[in-house]
Parts: sequence; C-alpha cells; structure tokens
Amino acid sequence: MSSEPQDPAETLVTSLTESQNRLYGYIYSLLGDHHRAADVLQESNLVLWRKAAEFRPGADFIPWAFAIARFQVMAHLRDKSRDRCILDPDLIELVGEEVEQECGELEELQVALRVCLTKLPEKSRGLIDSRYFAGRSIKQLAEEVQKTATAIKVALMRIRRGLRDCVQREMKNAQP
Amino acid sequence: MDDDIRDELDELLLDHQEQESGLSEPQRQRLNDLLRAHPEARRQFAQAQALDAALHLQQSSGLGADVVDFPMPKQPTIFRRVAWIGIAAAVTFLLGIGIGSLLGPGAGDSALAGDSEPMDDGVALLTCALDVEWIGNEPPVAGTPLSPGRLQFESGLVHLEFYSGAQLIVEGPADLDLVTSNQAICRLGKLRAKVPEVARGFSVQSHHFELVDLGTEFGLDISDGGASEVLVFDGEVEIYPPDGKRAPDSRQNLLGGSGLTWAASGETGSIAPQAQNFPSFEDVEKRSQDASQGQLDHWQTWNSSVADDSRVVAHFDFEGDGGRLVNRSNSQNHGTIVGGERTTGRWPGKGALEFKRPGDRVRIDIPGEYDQLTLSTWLRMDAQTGRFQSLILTDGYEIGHIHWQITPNGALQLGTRLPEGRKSRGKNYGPKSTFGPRRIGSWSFVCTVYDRQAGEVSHFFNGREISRQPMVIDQAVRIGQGDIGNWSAPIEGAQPVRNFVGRIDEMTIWKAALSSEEILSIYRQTRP
Repeated sequence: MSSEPQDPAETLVTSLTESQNRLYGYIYSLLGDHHRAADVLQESNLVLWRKAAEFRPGADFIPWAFAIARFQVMAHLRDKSRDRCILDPDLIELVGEEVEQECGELEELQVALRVCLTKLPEKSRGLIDSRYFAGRSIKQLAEEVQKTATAIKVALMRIRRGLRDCVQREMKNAQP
Repeated sequence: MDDDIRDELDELLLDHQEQESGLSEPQRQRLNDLLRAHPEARRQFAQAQALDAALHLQQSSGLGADVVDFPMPKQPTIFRRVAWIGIAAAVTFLLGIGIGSLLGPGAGDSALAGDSEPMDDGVALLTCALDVEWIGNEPPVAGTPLSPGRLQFESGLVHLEFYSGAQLIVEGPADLDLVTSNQAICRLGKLRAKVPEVARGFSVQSHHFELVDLGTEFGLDISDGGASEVLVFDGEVEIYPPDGKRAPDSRQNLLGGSGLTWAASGETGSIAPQAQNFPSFEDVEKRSQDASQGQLDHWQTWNSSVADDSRVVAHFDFEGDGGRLVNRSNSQNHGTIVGGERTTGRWPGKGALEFKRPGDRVRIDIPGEYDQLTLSTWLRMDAQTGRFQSLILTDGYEIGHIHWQITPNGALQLGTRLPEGRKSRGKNYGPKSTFGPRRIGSWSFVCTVYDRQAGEVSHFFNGREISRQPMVIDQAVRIGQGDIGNWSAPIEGAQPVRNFVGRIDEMTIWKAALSSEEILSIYRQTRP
C-alpha cells in the first residue's frame, strides 16, 4: 500500500512527530542538559525539515534523524561554551552507538519505566517524585526530611540503579 | 568493569545533575576517561542517560501527549489544500514554541505524572445527523460530544442535545456557533428547539436579536438573505436586541402562538406560527429509523461481497445465535463464544457481542503465516479501563505472533514478537492515542495494516490513516490460536486482565494489505 504516491512532506511530518521523544532522548544523552537538549531538538527539527528532500520515503527515518541530531549536537558544542556539556567531542562518536541503541527504543523504555515506577517501595517512589517530578534538589530534600545530603544521594543512586535494572528487565520480558 | 567504577560513574552522573554548573572540570575529565577506557561504562552511561530522558519526558508527559497527539494531516486528496495548512501548523508547532514550552523550565513543576484528571470541553451531543453535507474538513461524528465552535452544513438535518438539556433540530443550510452548554449563535438555518424547565435561560443569538428561553418549544428561521423569524409554539421566550446587554426596557416577551419577523432591513412584523413548517422531533426520530434500516440493508450487501473475497482469511459478522461465531470466509474456521452476550450492533437488527466480564472472549484459530495482514473491526468501546484491552491476542507470544489491542492510554496498537537476539522481545506499532473519552460509547471502525512488502505498519480510525511506521524487522506474522476480546496467556495461575469492555459487531482479517482508499471505502459503506 505504500506504493501509492504519498506526499513526502506528510510522511516527514508524521515521522518527525512520532520520533520527537526518541530524538529528545538521543540529544539529551549526548548533551546531559535538558534545556540545551530542548534547544538542539528544535534546531534539529528545523534541519530535518529543510533536508526533507534528501529523505527517501520508505527509508528508515530514525538512523537518518539521529545522524542529523548528532551533527547538531557537535555544532552546538562548537558554537556554545562547553559548560554543562558532559562529553568531549571525540566521546560523542564513541558513545554514539550505545546511545543510539538505547534511545532507538526509548518509547519501550518509557512504558517499562511506568511499570517500574509502580513497583518502587513507597519511600523510594516519593524520593523519585520529589527529585525528578517536583524538581527539588538533593539539598532541599535533605533539609525536608532532616537527613544528610549524602544519605539522600546514596539512596537516589540506589533507586536509580534499581530502576535501570528493572527497566532493562521489563523491556526483555514485557508481554506487549 | 568492577563495582567501584560502576559506582563512581553513577555518582558522577548524579553530581552532574545536581551541581548548578555541572561537573567540575576534573570530574568531567574523570567521567570522559572512564568512558574512553571501559566499554561497559559506555553502556551504563547510555542506559542512565536514556532513563533520565524518560524520567524527564514522564514528568512533562501531560504536555508531551499534546505534541505527539497532534492530529496528522492525513486526508483524502480533496482536503489536500487544507492538509498543507495542517502541515504548516504541525511544523510551526514542532519548530516553534511547542517543544520550547514543553521541555523548558517550569513544565510539570507542580503536577506529578499522570495525576491530571481527564477533561471534556464538550457542550452538546450530536445525537444524529441525517443526510448531512458538512462544510469544513473535520466533520463531526454522530453520537459524539461537540466542543464550543462552529457547526456548518450545506444540507441535511441534525439533532443536538445540549448538556443543559435543551434540544435542537437544525435543518441546513445552517451555520451555528455552539458557545456554551446553554447558548448558541445562529447565522443561518431553520431550527426547532425544545427547552425543558432545567434548561431555562437557553439563548440563541442572531444578528437581529437575542432570544432567551423561559422553558418552551420554539422555531427560528434565519435565511441567508438576512430575514429572520421567531415562532413560539408553546411557552414563552424573551427577545432582546443583539447587543448582549439584555436591558430590561428593551425586552419583548413572546408567548406561545405568536411570532416575530425581521426583514433584511431590520423592519419587524408579527406572524402566526406554522409549526408544520419546521421539522419535528418525531420526524427526526422516524427518519433516523428509516436511515438505520437503509444502512443495514446497505451493509448486508457489502457483507455478502466480503465473504466471497478470496483475500479474506476470516470474516466474523457477529450475526446468528448460539455459541458459535460464524466465520463467513471460505476457510470456515468458526470461533467459539465464551461468556460474551449476544446484543445489538451498529443498527437495530444488527447482531453483536457484548464483552464485559473479565472472562468474556471468543476463541479463534487462524492458521498460516502472512507477509501482509489487514485487521479491521467495528467496535463500541464502553469504558476506558487504564489497562490493556484486547482486540485479538494470540495465545502465546512466540516469534511472529501478533498482539492487536488498545493500550492503557487508549491507543490502538499492533505488537509483533521479534526474533531472539533483540533488545526488546516485541515491537509495538501504533499512534499515541486513538480512543479519547469522547469515543466512549460510540461505534468506531479501526483497521491495522501489516505490510512486509512495503516494510510498514499503518493504523486507521474511521477510514482515516492515524499512523504509519516503518517495520523494525522484516518478518512474517501469524495468529494461530487466540482470543477476540481477551487473552489466554500461557501463564500458570492468575492471568493478566486484558478483556475488552464494549461491543464488537464485525471483525475481518485479510491476507493482503488493503490500500487507504479501500479502507476508506469500507468505512463509508459500513458506517452507522
């Protein structure tokens, strides 16, 4: 059915829309900063849109989009100060493949994460909620619960590792 | 890589998030060195970063849903021009403030993920639409709520039930604005309103007047020449100038049996109401029944043609009685009904099955392996359950098996079990959302096409494409033994609850990839 002529612009918009989360994940993973990742995502969308003519409908959109996004990340690192950018330029190439693999399945990961969040013990869930969803810092959390920042940090590291393992497990075993 | 390095990397990543200006330079270098030296560290890094991205997206998911739910401009050629405007809008949205405000500071500050209550901005229900030729590219669907906004049609008759209780029948050509659940603006059209006591105060504005109802039945005729009439059949209405002030000294009360006319010039006169000039609620009811019968006849013709189509592997029309769900295709692999109750489908006289209890299902067996598969069904989802609802689920989830279902978010989804050696067991294809709260209780036609030749999986809702994605792996798919409306999972003991809640009155499986045109045509021939 794809043999029918399809407006390339429509195809591109659909692909672009459907891959926003994966692209965001990819860019964030390389940059390590949410604000900058949002900026670079916008720039990448613009470039992808401009290069629409280069995209062959039917080709796999994601590798093409990731390649362009990686280029935008590098350009961003070149143009802007490197503050808060976590990786050296050579490492972007080096970890690129791993990041591509993880973020290529970001949507499956999001589903798994939702499951894993429900499995967390109440206290751990509360900590993740406060830190990541309500945006409190470790310092603030430590003050609120009257514990040391180190204690909170250790707890967070443990929960994050647990979530990571759980997510990997869920993705392997999920019964869609 | 030993545990110390793993811990050190985790700590560095946490510090990076925590410290205002990121990692200190020595820390940053240490992180980069670790990543250079250890492949396992790179994997751990990628996993940790992807998880952070997912947490962040989860945090802004209330908004994120809007971005991905942006209706895709996929429409038939006649809407091409409009579609382009849609594309422009979508692109502007993607490139512009959309993402910026979505992921920028403040997004989701207060709300925790998934806490928001679903909202409905509907003001009236479109009860029925008879022979309506709509104007505009998003024609409303009978049986669904309408949001405030314009309702425009060239011809035909619609029946509206405002949430306040006021009922309206409108004959086209008509041009209305629904403002609130108790207020409308009428620019053009002939309408009859029945306003019960609870909806007292229902008002209609036109360019000559504002009418406020005091519990009554009235008619209103606004021609495109600019002349208008108000006729009160029963009860009482108040007429004010159209300035919206409702000044007491400008009020004019019209009682049952009286009427007012306005010439295009604005000159007024009185008139005796002729109720028979306006369509009555009984007429609408009668015509609606006739239309149903006509549609059912039409469907029966289509139904027998499908049974003869050699591409059809299974065609369940849900007609008949007893515990067997008849497969009208040549293969004659009938289904076995377990629990589901026979009931009424799209029209009176059309058979359907009601799925309600967790055990309700139809056992099916569809042998064979397919490079192309089209699955279609007419269903009425009666509840959003916050869990998966099955359309067709294969008993196991072996390589090549398909899982066709509705996700907890109400999205249509086709999952295929991938071969071993992939990171995920299965791949799910589908749009972000399909069944919003408004689709509950109304009949919908959903269709999914698996096309190995084109390397794509696409989904359709009421004849329109809602998603099209490339396949991640080139493989044939199969069904074998499975359930319609439930899941017989190969798990010992307690089973995951995935039963469909609602009615199904038709399901067809083709061993071919139907074209968008064909899917639209089926929808048009079979819609209620």
